[in-house]
Amino acid sequence: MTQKILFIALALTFIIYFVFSFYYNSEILTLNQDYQKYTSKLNQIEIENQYLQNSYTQSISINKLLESIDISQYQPIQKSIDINNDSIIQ
Amino acid sequence: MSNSRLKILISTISFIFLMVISRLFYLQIVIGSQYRTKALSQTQKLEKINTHRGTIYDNFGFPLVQNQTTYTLSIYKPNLTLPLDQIISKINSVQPDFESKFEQLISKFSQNDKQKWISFPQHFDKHQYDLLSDISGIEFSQDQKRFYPENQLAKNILGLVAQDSDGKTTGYGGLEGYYNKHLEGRPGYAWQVKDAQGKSLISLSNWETNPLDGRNLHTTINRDIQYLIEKILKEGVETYNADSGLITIMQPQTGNIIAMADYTATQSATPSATANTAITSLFEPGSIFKPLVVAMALDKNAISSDYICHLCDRPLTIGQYTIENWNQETHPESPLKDIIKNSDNIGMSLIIRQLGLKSFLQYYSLLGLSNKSGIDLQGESKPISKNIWPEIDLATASFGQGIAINQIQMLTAFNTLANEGKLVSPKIVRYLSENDQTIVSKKTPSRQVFKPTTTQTVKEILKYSVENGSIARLKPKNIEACAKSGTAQVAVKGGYTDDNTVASYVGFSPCDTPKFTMIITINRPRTTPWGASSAAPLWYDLAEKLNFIL
Repeated sequence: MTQKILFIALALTFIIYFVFSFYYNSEILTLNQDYQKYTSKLNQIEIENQYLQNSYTQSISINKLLESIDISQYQPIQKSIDINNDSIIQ
Repeated sequence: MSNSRLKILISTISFIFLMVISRLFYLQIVIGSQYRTKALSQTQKLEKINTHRGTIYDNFGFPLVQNQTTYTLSIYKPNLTLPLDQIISKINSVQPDFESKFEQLISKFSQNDKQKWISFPQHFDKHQYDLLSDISGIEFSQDQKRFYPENQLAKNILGLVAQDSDGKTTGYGGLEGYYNKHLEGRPGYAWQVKDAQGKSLISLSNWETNPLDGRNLHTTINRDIQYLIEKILKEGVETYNADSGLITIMQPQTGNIIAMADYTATQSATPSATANTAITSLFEPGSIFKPLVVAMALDKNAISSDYICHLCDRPLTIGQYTIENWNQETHPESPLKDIIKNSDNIGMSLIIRQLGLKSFLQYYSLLGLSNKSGIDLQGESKPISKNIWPEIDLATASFGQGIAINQIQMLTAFNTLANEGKLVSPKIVRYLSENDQTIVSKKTPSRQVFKPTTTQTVKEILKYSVENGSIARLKPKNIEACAKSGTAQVAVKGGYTDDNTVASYVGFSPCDTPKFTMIITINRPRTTPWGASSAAPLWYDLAEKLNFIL
């Protein structure tokens, strides 16, 4: 009787150990896959962010603005407003 | 089983165990360390985590230089699912000059069956990467390079980034070179467990030291004014058929450099051309130096403001040399203000004689002309210092010949007249930042060179000179300026030639509460050799615009 109980106990321990190891390993694998996926995603987002920043700064650069605006139609400024004195300076 | 057979069996098993234990002892104890190292290298890796180089901003926070991720393309033959020529055509449709640029490399690669792998020294941007990255057999590796939103703007100030002999990315020239240690940051390292494909795995044995990104530089450069002066300088150099030109603008009270342009007529259009001759080249300033000598003499009480030159009616002879004015005219009984207005070399030679060599050298040193200006740009040249000063050299120094300084030194010294006699060191970086926090705030060194009363007198002389001299016709009516023109002959093989001059104009505006001090230098103008007719018109053109912008 004692031998039977010992055998069942050992068998149960082995099964629990096996199930636990299997679960734990699959958990690790899932975590690693997520880790690699998010690391790659983060890298992509950082590059995308940098690309957008560069595109934005280039689009508001003086060279680009002058390309898109025909400044030949503009008149040079001849007067300025002195906001302190509320008057126009020639 | 007989007893003897059992003994043989036990002996055999014991022997086999002994063999196994011996082998294990050899593998684990004797050469264990070698295998441990090998195992670690196969399952763990130390990775360098690269930093981002710091951004350089203008004074309104617009980035003049930032980073860009680029991609280097490689082809691995065994993974190709399409013929190589089709792959090349696809790359060429994205990067039109690719096939012609690498014609020889591609030809050798396609003919050599043993060569499985090729990498092309060409940067692809993100858009091109997105179009090509899904093609089987094409691999990309990431790299970082500098991105200039304004293309070539301020390239002489910014410097460049390139790889040194060890392959390390380093800044050269300008701000990139001067602030390289701050800009490059500190790389991080990660120790990670990896799988069979070399990908990182989560593990308790992982550790990581965070990288420290490079610090950002916040400069004093005004982007709009920088654009304006580069444009006007280029037009000026072309108009006067000159070799090159320089313009530098400083904020009088702080020494902040607002803009600094350097244009050479023959320069290449590549961004690597980052020469900044405002700090690297020495020149003889010529007559723009005269107001400083007058200030020295007034400050030392060697002359008074009502000084009259009684010997200005004839050329001055010193030993075998004769000093004359630029047009061989003389100006008898010239008051001090007319000596400056007429740019009288004879009068200046007599003034410096009264000042004396010792006092001249003291002021020369106080004005920072014996040493580098200390501007925060890499590559500033040290001025040439003389130990022996014959009388003729002292006389010629009074009108800026026989001394060699760089343009920034000249501007900094002249700025003392705008700043009530106080010399402020020129600077380009206001502060550095790290993670949006200011970490280094630079304090500008300054010292009193002239008494404020002295500079006030010199200002009045300069104002009179501008209003009544030949310059007056160039000056817009709404501009008040305290300025001086200069035309220095260039020394060639121990002598001077008439056709090779440096034409300059330096001054500040308005005279009492100046918004800017600006110097313009045109090297070898061929249509007119004079500073008053080449550099001065550009100066007033810019001054008119600056009075609105600043």
